[in-house]
Amino acid sequence: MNDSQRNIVDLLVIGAGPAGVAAAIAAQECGLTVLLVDENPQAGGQVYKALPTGFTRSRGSSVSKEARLGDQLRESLIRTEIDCCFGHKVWNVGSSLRVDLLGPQGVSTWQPRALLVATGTTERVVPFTGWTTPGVIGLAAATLLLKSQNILPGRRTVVAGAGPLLLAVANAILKAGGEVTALVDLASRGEWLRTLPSLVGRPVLMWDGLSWQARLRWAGVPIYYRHGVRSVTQLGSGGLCVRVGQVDDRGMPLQGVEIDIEADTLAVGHGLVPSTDISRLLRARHKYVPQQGGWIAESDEGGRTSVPGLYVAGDGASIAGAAAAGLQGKLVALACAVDLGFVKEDQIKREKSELQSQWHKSARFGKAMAGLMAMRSGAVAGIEPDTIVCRCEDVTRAEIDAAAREGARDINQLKAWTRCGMGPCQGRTCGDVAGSLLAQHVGARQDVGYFTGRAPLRPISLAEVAGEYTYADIPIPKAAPL
Amino acid sequence: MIVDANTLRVDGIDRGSPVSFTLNGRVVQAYAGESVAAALFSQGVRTLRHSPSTNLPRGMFCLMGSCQECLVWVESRKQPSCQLPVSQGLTVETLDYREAQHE
Repeated sequence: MNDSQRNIVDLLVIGAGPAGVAAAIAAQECGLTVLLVDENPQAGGQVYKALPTGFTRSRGSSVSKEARLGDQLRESLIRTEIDCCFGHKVWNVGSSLRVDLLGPQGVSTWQPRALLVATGTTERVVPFTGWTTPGVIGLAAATLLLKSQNILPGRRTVVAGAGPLLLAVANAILKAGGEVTALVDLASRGEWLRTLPSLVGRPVLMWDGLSWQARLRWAGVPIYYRHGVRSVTQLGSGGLCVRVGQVDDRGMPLQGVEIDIEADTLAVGHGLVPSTDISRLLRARHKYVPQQGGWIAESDEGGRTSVPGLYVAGDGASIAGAAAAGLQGKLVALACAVDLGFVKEDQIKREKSELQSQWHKSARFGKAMAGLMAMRSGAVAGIEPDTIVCRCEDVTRAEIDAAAREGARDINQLKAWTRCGMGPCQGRTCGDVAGSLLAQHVGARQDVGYFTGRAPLRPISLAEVAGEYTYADIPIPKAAPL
Repeated sequence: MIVDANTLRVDGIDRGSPVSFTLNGRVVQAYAGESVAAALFSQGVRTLRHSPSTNLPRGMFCLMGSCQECLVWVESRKQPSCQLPVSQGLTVETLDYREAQHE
């Protein structure tokens, strides 16, 4: 790779959600050259995902607060003229923080002085019998269908799992004129009531919560608190039979009445998991904090990880919600600006302390929601032996338990022995649950560890990466003299 | 908001131009810009592949490019259909269909 092919920049931000965008803008204001990269065609992340290219909101249609915030975020990028690489996948990051991108025109490479990873989260779904049946999708997936693609998940949808996405999805379905056949919540009413103090000072959120509850009640949606999905079976008609039953406060199934609910689609999710692909790849130190999403990179209040030059921000660093993510993005950008010598610490002291106190206020609600989304040990313990845990490789719970009995003590051992985590999703879907299952034999979740990060970060083809490189380019060394 | 009775598309949005793409040779009507996965899901096409050892039907799951369940072939590239925007004349093949062609 010669120098003319390597692009230089002060700060490269991966992820154009609320944290990434705020960081990019704040860094540029401090005088840094910035590049913002995202695999999606537009900024917004998941929470403020844009309408597909070519779609517009109809004249006179009501615009949700979220949609407005998303539009503002995208407008702010245009206004500040931040350099953006949309539709670009980061397939590798080198130890010197060199970033390898794959975009519509092929591969490119960037060498930043600092790298901010603000890649948000993916969704956790704790397996149950039949969860791989077509028609079973995540809560985040249902949100994407409704808010971005403007498509209902089904004519009759059961909404199940835990966390704020439950209410958000049910509400969005009703608003779009669809039917929520049932809402099945692992949490109890009491758990929800205990999050009320976090709404103090956030009247808009409180109003949202109340109006959502009212809408559910008015639509006559059956709500099952402290219930979980036991199984899903495909019906001859093409629909699904969703069987639900009572659970205890840890999500463990209890003996008792089971209810069969017929629907087209099941939208189910059990919390969000910070995306640590890149920080794991770069061998940053991580810690296990269930209340913040599980395994997260160790970072200080400036987002600095154990790898010099590598920063993290937003829900991908620690789950605290979209509002807090934007504030944290700014804080991390300031920390980076100080570290690279663009500003002095005492120049930003006041702004920093203001942002920090705003962050604490904003994070309060996000953290309370993160608590509702934390993995429930009973839900994992209740997984049936013949239920698939690793979707990519068809690895069942029974195979994981067998590996543990045979001596597997670490999740990477489990992967090597069972193929769990070896498939194209690279353990993003099963990792949390597989680790928790192994921990039931080993002891602490921390001791089981996490899947070693490996490149490529997403599946790519050799043709895409090789680009113009052909056999003719391979240098043939001269043979040594005899 | 009113829902279109035939598909699950919600009103209140001015969509891109109506286009058609093919799935395994069959013509599918959709709107330019929608993801292939969303367009198919809304029409009841939810099985895209079969699992490696149990051969059970699999389809769209996370819709955000992470789970890799919705993989399809477009020419020489295998990619998640949830990250693939619909365009006029796009030729999409499921993994099973492409494999059957090579037998």
